Order: sequence, then C-alpha cells, then structure tokens
Amino acid sequence: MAESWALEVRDLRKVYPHRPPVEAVRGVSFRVAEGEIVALLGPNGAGKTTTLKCILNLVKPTAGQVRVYGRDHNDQRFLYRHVAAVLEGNRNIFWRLTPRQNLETFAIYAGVPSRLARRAVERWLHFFGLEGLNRETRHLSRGQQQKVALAAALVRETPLLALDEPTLGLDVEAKRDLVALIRRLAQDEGKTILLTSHQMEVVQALAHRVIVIQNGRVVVEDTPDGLRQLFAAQAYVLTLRLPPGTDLAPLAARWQARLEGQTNGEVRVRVMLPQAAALYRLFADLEALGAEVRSLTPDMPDLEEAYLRLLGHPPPTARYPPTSTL
Amino acid sequence: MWALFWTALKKEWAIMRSYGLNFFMQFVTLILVFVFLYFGLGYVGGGPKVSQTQEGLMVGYWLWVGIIMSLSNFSWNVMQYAQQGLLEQLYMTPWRLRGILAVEAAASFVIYFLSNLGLLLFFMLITGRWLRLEPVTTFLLYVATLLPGYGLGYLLAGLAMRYKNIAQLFNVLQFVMAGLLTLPVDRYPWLNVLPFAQGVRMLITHVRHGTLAWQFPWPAWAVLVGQTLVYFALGLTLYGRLENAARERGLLAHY
Ligand SMILES: Nc1ncnc2c1ncn2[C@@H]1O[C@H](COP(=O)(O)OP(=O)(O)OP(=O)(O)O)[C@@H](O)[C@H]1O
Ligand SMILES: [Mg+2]
Repeated sequence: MAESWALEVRDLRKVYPHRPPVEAVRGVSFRVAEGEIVALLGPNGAGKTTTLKCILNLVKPTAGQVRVYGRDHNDQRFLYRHVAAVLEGNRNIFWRLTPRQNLETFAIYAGVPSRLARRAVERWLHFFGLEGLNRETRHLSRGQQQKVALAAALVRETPLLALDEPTLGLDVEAKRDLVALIRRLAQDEGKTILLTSHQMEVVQALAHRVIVIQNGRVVVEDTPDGLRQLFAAQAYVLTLRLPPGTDLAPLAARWQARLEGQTNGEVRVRVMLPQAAALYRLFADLEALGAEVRSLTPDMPDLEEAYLRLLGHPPPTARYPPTSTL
Repeated sequence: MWALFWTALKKEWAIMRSYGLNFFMQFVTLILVFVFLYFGLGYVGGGPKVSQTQEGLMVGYWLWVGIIMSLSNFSWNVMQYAQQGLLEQLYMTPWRLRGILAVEAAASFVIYFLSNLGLLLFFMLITGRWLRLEPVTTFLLYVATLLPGYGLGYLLAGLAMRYKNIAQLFNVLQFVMAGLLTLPVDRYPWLNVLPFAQGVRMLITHVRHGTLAWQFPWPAWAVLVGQTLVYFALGLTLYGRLENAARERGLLAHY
C-alpha cells in the first residue's frame, strides 16, 4: 500500500562536504499520509531545512531513500509535479513583479498548461485575498509577501506542499492569519503539508503529527496532544497552606516549583517531577517544610514545555521568585 | 513551449521596466562612450584609413554592447536568483534550472536585440554615417556572433551558483571580450578558436562590400556555427558540474 503515502523518507543522511564535514542529517525516517499536516520541530541547526531540501532534491542526500507518492524523488519530473515548496519565506519570489505576474510566471514555469494556469492564478489570488494588489511585491508587507510566496507555490497545483518556517518573521496577527490559511489548505483543499518550524504555537495549531528533530536525528514522533501527555502526569498544581515565612527556595531547586498564585493564606504552586513516582518524595519534602497539602491536580504542560523537556533543557518557566516573605 | 517563452518575455520586460532608470542610464553611458571613441578616433587617426576604422568601430562596438548586455543580464540574473532563493524555485520545474535560464535568455535576447537596434540607429544618426545593413544578414550575423557567448553565460551562471559573488570576474571579462572582438582573425585564422571576432569581421565585410549572408564562403559560417556548438557544449558541461557541486554542498540557495 505504498500508494497511500504522500511521502516516505527512509534513513536519510546528509553530510555537507565542508571543512570539517557537517553531519546535518543522521538517519531520519518518517512517513506522511495523504491529507496530513506534519511538522518537523527542532532547535536551530537541528537539520530541519536540510531534511526538507534533501526531500526536494535541492540538496543531494548522502544516503537514504525518498519516495513521493510512491515514486523515487530522483524522478524529478514526477517529483516537481507532485510537490511544491516555499523555502525562504518571502524571499523566493520575483520582487519586481506584482503578485499576479509572479503567479502567472511560476504557473507556466512549472509546466501547468496555459488554460489551467489562468484558472489557478485567479483561484489562489482569491484564496489569499491578493487580487487587488497591483504593486510590485517588494513594496508589500512581509505578511503579504509570504502569501504571494505561498500562492506562487500553490499555482503549481501539486498535492504535496513543503513549507520551511512559514511564519518566521511575521507579527502576531499576520501569523494567526497565515496559520488559519494553511489549515484551510489541508481541510478544504485537501493538500498534504510538511512544514518545519520552531514556533511551538504554530505547530500546536496546525500539525496532526509532530516529528521532533535534534542533532540530525528523530527524537520522537507523536501528535501534539500525545507529546503533551507524554509529560502530563509529571506536572502538578498543589495548593498548600504554609507556616508564615517559609522559604520555598529548596522546593524550587529540587522540584522546579513555580508560584502560581496565592489567596488568603494558601499558595498555589506548580511542580515538575522527573517521574510520577517521585510524588512521594515531594510529599516528604513538603512535610519537612511544615506545609499542609490542601489539593493536588495533574497539569497539562503546553507543547513548548513538553518539547523543551524532551530536548533535555529545563523549562524556561521553572524559575522561582524570591518568596521568603510568604 | 511558446507559452513558456511568452511568459518569460513578459516577465523580463516587466522587470526591465521596473529598473527603468538604470536601463536608461546604461544606454546613455553606452552612447557617451561611443561618441568619445568615435570622434576621438577621428582626431588621433587621420589619413584615409580613418573612415574605415570608424566603420569597424561602430560595428564592433555595437556587437560588444549586444554581448555585454545579454551576458551581464544572464549572469546578473543568476546572482540575483541565488541570493533570493529563486534558483531553488526555478530548479523545481520540469525544465530544470538550465531550461528556464535558456528560455529567459532567449526572451531577454529579443528585448536586447530590439533595443540595440535602436542604439545602432542612434549611432548612425549622431555620426551621420549610414551603414548599409541588410536586415536578414545583420540579424543572422548578430545571433551567430552572440550565441557562443551564452556558452560562457552558462559557465558564469555555474560559477555564480558555486561561488556566489562573481561580479569581479565579470568586470574583467567585459574587457577580455572587447579584446576578443578585435582579434586579427584575418591574419591569424587559428585565433578563431576564440569566440566573437569572426562574427565582427563578417559584419564589417557586409557593411563595406554588401556581402549578403549566403554569399560568404561556407568556412566562415562553419566557424561561427562550430564556435556556438563547442562553446555551448563546454559551457553546459561545466555548468552541469558546478550545479551538481552546488547541490552537493547545499548552495543552490544562499548559505
Ligand atoms: N550548505 C551548508 N553547508 C554546510 N553546512 C550546512 C549547510 N546548510 C546547513 N548546514 C549546517 O547543517 C546543520 C543543519 O542545518 P539546517 O539548516 O538543516 O538546520 P535547521 O534545523 O533548519 O535550523 P534552523 O532552525 O536554524 O533553520 C547546521 O549545523 C548547519 O550549520
Ligand atoms: Mg532551517
């Protein structure tokens, strides 16, 4: 049933012949089903872009296999009729052409027959609300340019779309706008999308599946919810009644405790445990402090926290305010 | 295929219009340089040969402008594309990068040929020397002379891809090409392994003696066609290698 996979990547490796050689991708394997949105998530230099470009055959892989709709990606005619990409955000379009001229040029260059091309141009201009923009693309806003770049990829009418950091450098509003449009591409237009990002909220909002990459390897592969649940049992919110003047610093150091709030003599503290069983040791510590536990609830971390823990970084939120005044 | 060419033509034209002022200033500069050379020659030279030399200058300079413009457009495009990640986008087409570059080169060739005709008319107007040019012969010789240049263009494109900034190299090449145009191929026929000079000779002969395209001896044409084939093959082969090297190193886009 190889046909049902839009993309299959097997043991992909890339060593850039640099001095010294750079091992950017060290054996990455994954698959993307038709209609799926899959995100490659990872810190800077993890190898996301390299993975994407190897798939697209823009960078020659050192080893491994890539199949797009069942066909090896070295069949480039087939490849480029089935996948289109936006790689450098707003940059890979003609800046001195209008959005319409850009779309017309890219459609014909991509080998779309003239009549279909005309229809595709109208369709995607309309989809992104770019019809009225008759200025050269370089004069448009960053968000608009990003849309032009996306539309210029979409006029090729390929079923698979590869997007490298599609929301990089956009302001909050433009980002939200674009995220909604990308979601519609999958939902309403049936596109299969492989994207990279290190913006957690984007991944959380878009992806059906997240592939976390670090140091050129796949660390974990799961749904955004699954990834969060992986750690859900290990974060708890405690309501405590403390003797006046208790120093919470030892708690902060050992359990990454964070003050969530305080109301009439009770404090709410969020703690992270290395594993669920450590709860008993936490209780021992609390007892030593003379704290009385009023309630205990498991807490869902957000994806960002889950992700950072996965990569072995302490969550950035595990800071504790000086609270000896408690 | 026609749609592709037409699209490239519209695109090149739109971009040139967008650079309108630059484009215009380029022409002004070229005209000024020409005027300087032409009338300067009149003062320095003297004697009966001057008028013939001036004719040669006019034809030679005109072809040089054609070559420089087409080539600089070609390699400048590639440098620009490399910086904008456009090489990757153009690579991801059924025609591959080299196909798209060829079509764009053909499109801008047409635009430059027409604007160069305008330039030549202007030269004739300000010098008052009306060259007898038969359109078909002129066109054929212009094309045949410039074509080998595109082999070189592909080489430059490959170098731009692999080594990014080749502006310096290009500046040097402009002068090398001016030299190539004036090689004494009459006296030393083996110099014909180098491009351009033969075409210039033939065009000058055409202007002076009214020799038409089909009246030239066949070896003259054989040289032009041979050069085109050889330089194209050479340029494309080297380009292919450089493109592969760039892909191996992840250099299609700016790294
Ligand atoms: N063309 C190249 N030549 C040599 N090394 C490269 C090249 N491109 C990337 N690298 C290196 O390969 C590694 C992976 O880079 P890559 O761009 O794939 O990471 P990334 O996950 O996309 O990072 P970012 O989030 O910064 O975009 C990095 O160490 C990078 O410096
Ligand atoms: Mg990247």
